[in-house]
Amino acid sequence: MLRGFFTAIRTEWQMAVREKMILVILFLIPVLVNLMLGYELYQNQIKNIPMAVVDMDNSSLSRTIVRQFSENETFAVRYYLDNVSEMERLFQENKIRVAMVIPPAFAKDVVALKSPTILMVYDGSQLAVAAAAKSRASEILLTLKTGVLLKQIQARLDVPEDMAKKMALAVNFNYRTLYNPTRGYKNFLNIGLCAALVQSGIGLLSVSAIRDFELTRSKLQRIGHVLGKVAFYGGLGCLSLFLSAIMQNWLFQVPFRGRLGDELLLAAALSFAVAGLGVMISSWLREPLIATIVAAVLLVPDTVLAGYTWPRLAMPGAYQKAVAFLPFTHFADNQRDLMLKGLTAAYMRQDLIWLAIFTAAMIILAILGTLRLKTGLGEEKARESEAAANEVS
Amino acid sequence: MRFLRLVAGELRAVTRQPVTLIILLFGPLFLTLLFGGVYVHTYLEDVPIAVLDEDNSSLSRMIITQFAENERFYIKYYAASREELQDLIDSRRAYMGLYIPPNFARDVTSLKSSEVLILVDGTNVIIGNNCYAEAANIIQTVAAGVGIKILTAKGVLPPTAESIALAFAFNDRTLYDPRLTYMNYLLPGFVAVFLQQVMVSSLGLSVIDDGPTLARDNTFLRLAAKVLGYGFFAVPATFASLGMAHELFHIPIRGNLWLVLLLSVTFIFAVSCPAAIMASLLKDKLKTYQLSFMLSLPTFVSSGYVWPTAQMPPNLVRMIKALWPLIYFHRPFADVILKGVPFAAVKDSIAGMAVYTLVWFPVAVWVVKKRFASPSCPVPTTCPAPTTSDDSVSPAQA
Repeated sequence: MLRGFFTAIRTEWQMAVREKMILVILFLIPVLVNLMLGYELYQNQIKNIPMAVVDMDNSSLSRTIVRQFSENETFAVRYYLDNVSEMERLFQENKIRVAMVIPPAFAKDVVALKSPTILMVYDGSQLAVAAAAKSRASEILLTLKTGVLLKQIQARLDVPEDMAKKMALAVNFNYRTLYNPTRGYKNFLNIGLCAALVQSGIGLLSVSAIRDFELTRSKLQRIGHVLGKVAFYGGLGCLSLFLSAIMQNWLFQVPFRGRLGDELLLAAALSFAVAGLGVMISSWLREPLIATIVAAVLLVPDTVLAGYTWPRLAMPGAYQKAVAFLPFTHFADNQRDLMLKGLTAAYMRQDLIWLAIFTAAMIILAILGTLRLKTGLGEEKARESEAAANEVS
Repeated sequence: MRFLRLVAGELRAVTRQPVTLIILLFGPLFLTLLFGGVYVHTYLEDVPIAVLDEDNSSLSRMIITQFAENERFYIKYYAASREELQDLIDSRRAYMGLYIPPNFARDVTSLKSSEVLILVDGTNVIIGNNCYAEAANIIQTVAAGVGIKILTAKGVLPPTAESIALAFAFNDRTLYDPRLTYMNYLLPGFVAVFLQQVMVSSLGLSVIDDGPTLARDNTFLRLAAKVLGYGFFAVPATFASLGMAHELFHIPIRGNLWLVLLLSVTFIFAVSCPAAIMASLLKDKLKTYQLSFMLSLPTFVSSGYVWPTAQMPPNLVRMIKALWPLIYFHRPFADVILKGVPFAAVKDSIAGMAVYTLVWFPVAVWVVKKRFASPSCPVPTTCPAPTTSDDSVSPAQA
């Protein structure tokens, strides 16, 4: 068995060195994507959203409101329009993503306590932009509203400014966004996207790892082969996952508040689970292209399916149950929490145990898959397969 | 005429390959169904939150009731201390914490400006943004109500107090997707990526199968015929996926479908260039599959769909545009569907894909010729044709 184990590792390593594909998929592509994503999201927050203003009041109050928007880095006021029909054309042509309409006699109506309404219009087709614009616009308008309220109280009740302020802000709410204070996309997305890519690589490679000639060996050797393949792809995958996390931290300042040991443990848990899954598929599905498609369907969409972006709690019940069987579900949130919150392995115990059990189950199934095929393999096919491997080694 | 015969040959070849046919026709439909199901619940509801009420007054209970009655939140934990509140958020058992300090109601009445603390877990931006926005709504309502009561207590008539507290209002109008749903936002973009993936993987495999024939003569025409042959199945499957997204998941289709077709056809030519180059360089079906699947995620996130191109460094955008064509197609495809934008709004993208194809298609033709040229015949055009009954028939077709 041990001979089979080390032979499998040696064969895979020689193949990796000679054909380069393993190294390209597990290291080169993830490193390049890490660099690209870090660079792409370097801004972290959405800024300079193109905006149009229709100020039908043109009072000092309305101009103050417009100035607040134009001075805020989230918005770039590019158009000052006279009417709303032009605004709609600009939305249609993607020239603006947000617009503000201040009605005529706005300032007068505020003074006359008629509660006039400012209309904010958003382009809902780009959710990330619309959400950022909405959130920042609400903050600006609420601040302005508090200022107006303060002046009204001062004028109407004839009280000093500090008293007016206390009345205006009688109930004060303080928001604090923990671990990712700017709610930045870089911290949110990069960690999981890079890990998902590495996991896809591990799966896509290990899914064709069991070669025909290996199935003609003795039972013990075959068991050794299965363990060797899982160890090889799991080990390299773990290294790549670890490298991804470190790169995001060193090069792009994504926080890393956890312990390196815990990071290694979590990376190994995912990596071996996915390698086990891949080798298991490889042992049962002997057509490599079909097996690759199966692995791709199971692993490539995991950033969406495993609840990393759209949370599991918002998915239908059947999905919640089904995705609980994906290794990435037990990894992704933990990885983000480890980096952003500094969560320790103790908090991830359940998920780590689940991943370990999953890995063991996959290895057992993979062994059963290889043992069952002893008589089913044609000698010619086995010879061809061995010749191909020998050519490599 | 010869070109049409080649296209017909490719169509016949596809129908003789069941796996390729299934991928081209049913791949996009299956994936649309799978991904659409994820977002079938429009909103994030019942987010578990934790509360620590150290005041326990009627005002603090009223605030908590507002959160309890809101469908976005589910008060799952009542913490006993600030440490416990923090731990509940740390351990992901609660995504938001609401802390009301001691003597809160008394301080509000005596105008001491007491402060309610709202702690939002920002690690998942989608959850964090939803919690923040909804909490802000509740708080505005509560603060306005308390403000009116204070003004009334100071002798202001209730209607006047209400008008003072309101000062001015601001309304939102969200165009194209008033509910700002992830379903409408993401699903059309996924459908576009499915088209890319089925084209890249199927065409790549076909190039490997037919490489020597492609390289022998008329490589340009043969490759173009191959793109049309595979596109003949992939593009209708994309339209069927859009139809399914519309019927099952209520994705609005506002644009001109001819424009969607024009974009899709231009795109399949553009994306076939890197697919053919990749397949020719690898000359291995398994590796082509592996690489094409590995590229799906990076091309998706770099296409300006999730993170707009206007927010990316311009040099990176230029580099992506030069290397991979999804960036020209992804957003315009969704804009035509969701917003109904006219031809004028997407003409630059179509032109971009055309230029990309004009540059990369000859490169693809050259690479195919170079990589699949027979060793005994390094210059294919000077070699005798193999003895087949019809020179337009490729091995895959045969």
